[in-house]
Amino acid sequence: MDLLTQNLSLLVATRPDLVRRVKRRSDEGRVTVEKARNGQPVPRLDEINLHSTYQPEAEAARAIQEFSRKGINAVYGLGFGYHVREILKAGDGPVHIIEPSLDLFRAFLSHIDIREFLPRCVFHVAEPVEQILARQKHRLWKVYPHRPTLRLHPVYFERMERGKNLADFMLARPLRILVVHPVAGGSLPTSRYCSQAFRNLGHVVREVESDAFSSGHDHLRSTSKDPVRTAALSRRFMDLLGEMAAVAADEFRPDLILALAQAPLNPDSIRRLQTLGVPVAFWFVEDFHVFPYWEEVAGVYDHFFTLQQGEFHDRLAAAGVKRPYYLPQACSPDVHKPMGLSAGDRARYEADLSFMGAGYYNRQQAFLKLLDFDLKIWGTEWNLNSPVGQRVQNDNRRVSGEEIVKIYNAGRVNLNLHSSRYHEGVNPEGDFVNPRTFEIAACGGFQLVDRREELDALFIPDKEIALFEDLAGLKEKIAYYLAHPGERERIALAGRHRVLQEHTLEQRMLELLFVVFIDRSEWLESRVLGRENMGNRWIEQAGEGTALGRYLERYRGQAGWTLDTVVEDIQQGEGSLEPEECLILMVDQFFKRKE
Amino acid sequence: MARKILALSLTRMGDLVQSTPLFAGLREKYPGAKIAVMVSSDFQEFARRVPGIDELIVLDIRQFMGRQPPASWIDVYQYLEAFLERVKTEGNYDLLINLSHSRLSALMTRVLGIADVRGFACNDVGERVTHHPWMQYFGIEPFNRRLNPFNLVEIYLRSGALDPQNRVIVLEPAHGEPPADTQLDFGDDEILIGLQAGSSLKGRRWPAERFAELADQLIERLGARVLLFGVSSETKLAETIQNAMRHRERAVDLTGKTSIDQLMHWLGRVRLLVSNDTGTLHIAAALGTPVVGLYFAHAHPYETGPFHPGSLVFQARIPCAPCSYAVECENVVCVDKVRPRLVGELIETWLREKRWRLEREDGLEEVDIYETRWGGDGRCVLAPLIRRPPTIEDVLPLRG
Repeated sequence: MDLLTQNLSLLVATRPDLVRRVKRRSDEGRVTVEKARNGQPVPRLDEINLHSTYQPEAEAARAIQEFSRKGINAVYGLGFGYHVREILKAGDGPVHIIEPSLDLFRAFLSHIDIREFLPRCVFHVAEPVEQILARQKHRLWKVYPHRPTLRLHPVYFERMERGKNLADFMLARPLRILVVHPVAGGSLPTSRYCSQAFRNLGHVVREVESDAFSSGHDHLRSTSKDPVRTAALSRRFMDLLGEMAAVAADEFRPDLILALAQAPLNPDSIRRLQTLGVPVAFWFVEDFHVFPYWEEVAGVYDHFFTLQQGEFHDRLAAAGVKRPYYLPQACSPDVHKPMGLSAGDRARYEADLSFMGAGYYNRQQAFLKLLDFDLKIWGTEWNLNSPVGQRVQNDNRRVSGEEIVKIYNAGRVNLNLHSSRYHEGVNPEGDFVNPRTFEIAACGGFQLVDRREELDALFIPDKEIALFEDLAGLKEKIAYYLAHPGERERIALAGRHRVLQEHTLEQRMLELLFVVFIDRSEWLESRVLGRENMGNRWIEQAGEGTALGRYLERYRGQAGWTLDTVVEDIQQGEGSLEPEECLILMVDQFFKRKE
Repeated sequence: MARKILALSLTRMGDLVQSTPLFAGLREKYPGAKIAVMVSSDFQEFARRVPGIDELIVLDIRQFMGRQPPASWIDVYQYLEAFLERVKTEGNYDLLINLSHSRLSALMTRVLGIADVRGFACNDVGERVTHHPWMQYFGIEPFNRRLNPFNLVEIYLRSGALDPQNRVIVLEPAHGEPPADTQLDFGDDEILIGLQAGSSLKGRRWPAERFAELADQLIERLGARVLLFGVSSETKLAETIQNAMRHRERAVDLTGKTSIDQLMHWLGRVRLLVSNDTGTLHIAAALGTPVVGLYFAHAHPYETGPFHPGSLVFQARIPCAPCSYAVECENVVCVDKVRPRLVGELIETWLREKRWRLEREDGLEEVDIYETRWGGDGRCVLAPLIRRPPTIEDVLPLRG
C-alpha cells in the first residue's frame, strides 16, 4: 500500500469528506516535491519552497523556538508539517491547521505519514474563510503563521484577519437586518429561525411577514382555472408584496436584506431594494432541480446562498452569479432540544419508528415496506386512503413546531428519508441535507437518514449519524438499532454534540454575515459608526451637565440607538418613571402624533 | 390662601369653548384664585376670547413640525423641559385640571408635579389614570354613549366640583369693526344666515348639496343672505355649495378669509348659524347666536351639543346613531335623514315666532330634533321637539 492510500484509510474514520475530496483529485496540480539536502521531502509551488531545502526539520524547530511555541493551537499553512510537529511536541491539545490548497494537502498525504498528526490536528483544507470563522472558536486561537504559505496565499489569510476584526466589530455593535419571509412553504420556519438567530447574535431584526398573506394567496390562485390568468394574478400579488418589502426596508434602514427561498420578490422588487445601497442576499433553501425560479432572480441578488454545490454552482456561474456560496441547513437549539415528555405525550408520540414530514411520492412508496413496524407518521399531504395513510396520526393537519420537537424526542428511531417526486425510495443522487437531519440531532433523537453526498462533511457516518443506502438496508438497520438502544443513545449523543458545535443557525447566519461583509467591512463599519455618531451627537446636544445628558450617557458608544430604543428601554424598565423618562415619553408622543 | 389653578386644554377649539363655564365657576368659587390655562399655539388667538383667565400659557410644539433640516428629538425635549420648568416655577400651582385625554398631557401632569390633579394624570410607570369620579366617568363615557345624559360642559364643571345650574358657555365678543377686507355691505334689516359646512371629519358633514338647497330655500322664501364660514381648506367645499345654488349671488364665501376676531364678528351678526358639530358652532352658541346643529356619524348632541339655550339640534333616529367610537362608518346614511326643507321650515317659523316649533310632525320617524333650553333643575338640557310615545329603546337604551 502506498503512503497516500494508507493515510487516506487512516483519515477516513474522522474526515470522510476530506478523503472524498482528495480522491477526486488525480494529481497534485502544480505542487512539486524536492528532496532537501538531508533527504527530507520539501514541497514547492509557484517557485516558493515551503520549507528549507537544507534541513527542514531543524529549521522549523528553530523558527518555532523563536516564535515562542507555548500555547500555539492554530497554524496558518501546513506545508509538509515540519513546524506542526514541533508545535505538537510543545503541547497536548488540538491544533487547527488552516491550509488553503487541496493540492498541497494531497502532496502532504503522499509523502508524510499522517499518524504523527492524528488525532490532534484538525484540518481545514481549502475551506472558505467564512466557514472557518463561523464554526470555529477562533478567538481562542494562538496562531503560528507559516510564512511561505502566507506568501503563497496572501488574499486568503488577509481575509481571515479581516474576518476576525469583523467578528469583533459585529460582536460589539448590532447590525440592522431585514428578513423577508416567504408567503408559505417549508422555507418559512427556516426564515423565522434565521430572524431569531440574528437576534441571538445581538442584531436588530425586522421581519417582512409575507406569510400573513398566505391564505389570501391561496385564494387568489384558486380564483381562476386558467393558468395564464392565475399567473397574471400571482404576478400582481408578487408586485404588491415586493412593494411592502420596499416600504419596510425604506423605513427600517437595514444594513442587510435577507430573503429566504419563496420570498415574494421579483427582479424589479430586488432592484428596488438595492437602491437603498445595502446588500440584498438570498438563501435558496430548496432543491434547484425542483424549483427552477432561481434562474430568474439569482443574477439580480448581491449574494446567493445555496444548499447545493457542484452542478448548481456551475449553472449559477453561467447565469452571472459572481460567488454563489454553499450554506447548508442547520438547527435552532432554542427550539430543537431534548425534553421530558408527559405520560400523555408519550402515549401519543412514542413509537418504534416515526416519521414527520410531507407525503412525497417516494415516502408513500417506501413506507409501504415498513408497515410491519410500529410506525407513526405525522405531516401533511399523505394519501389517507392507503395502507400507509392509516399510520398517519394527524389527519394531514399542519403539525406545530412544538409538536415536532416532541415527535423527534419520542421516536425510538426517527426516519429521515429525503423527499423525491419520482424515486421509489432513496434518491441515489441526493446531495443536500434537509433541516430535519439537524433538528432531530439537536433534539437528541436517533435517526436513520438516507445517504446524501454532502452528509459526511456535516456528520461522521455511523458515529454521529446512522445511514441507510436503500430500503432493504433500511429495514435491517431499523431492526438492528431497535435491538441496540445503547448504540442509538451513543450516536444520538454524538450527533447532538456535533450540531451544537457546528450546525446551528446562529453559526450559519454568522457565516452569511462574513460572506456579505468581509469584503465590505470598511463600508459596514463607517455605516454603523455613522449611526453611533448620530447617537453621540444627541448626547452632545443634550449637554454634559444636564439631566438628559447624564441619562443618555448609558447609550454612549452603542451603535444604532434611536429615540425608539430609549422609549423601549423605558417601557421595559422597572420602578417609577424618572422626570427625564417622562419627558422622553412626551417627546415620543409628539413624534407619533406628527406621523 | 388663594389657590393657583392650572387647566390644560390641549385638544380642540370646541373643547376650549366647552370649558368656559368651568373657568367662570372656578372664578366664583375661588374669588382670589389665579387661573391659568395652557393651550396649544393653534388656538392662542382664540383663547384670548375666553373670559376669566388670568394667564394664557401657550405650548408651541408645532414649531418643530416641517422644519428643514428636521428638528432632532433633543430639540423637542429641551423645549418641553424648559417650558414645563418655567410653568412649574413661575406658576407654583396647587390645582391642576387636565381637560385633555392624551397620553402627552397625562405625562405632563407628572412632570409638573402638582399635588391635586383632576382629569387624566399618569401613575409611576407612565400609564394614564384618573382619580376624580367625574373624570373617571369622562373616561368610560365613550364606551357607554347611549346611556349618557351629560354634556361635556357639565362633566367638566362637575370635575371642578361645580354645580352646572344656570351655567352656559360664554366668550367675550369682538370689539370694534372688523378690518376693511371683510367689511361687507349689509343693511341692518337683512336676514343674514351663517353656514359652516365643513368639519374636521368627513363623515360628520351634511352634504354640500343639502346646504345649497337650504340656502336657496332661505333666499327664496325669506330673501336671506348667506355667509359661508370655514377655514381655507374648506374653500373648495364652499365653492361646491355655491355652484349647486340657484342664487349664488346671495352667498358670500368667507372661508379662509377670517381671523378669529373677524369670524366672531360675523358670528355675532348672523341671525343664526347652521353648522355641523364644529368649533364654529360652539363659538356661535357662546356668543348667544342661535345655532342649528347637525350631528352625524360619531357626533352626539348629548355630549357636545351647543350648551346654550335657544338652539336646535338634528340627529338621525336610526339604531346605529351615533356611531360607536370603535366604528369607522363606510355608509353614512344618517346625513340623509335630515332634509333641507324641514330645516328651512323650522328656521322660517323661528324667524317669525322666535321659538322652535314644528308645523307638522308626520314623516319624521327617522329624525330626532332637540331644542336646547333650561331644564326644571336649572341645567341646560336637550328637549325633544317631537313628542312621541317612548319606545323600549328610549327607556332602556342598551343595545348589543
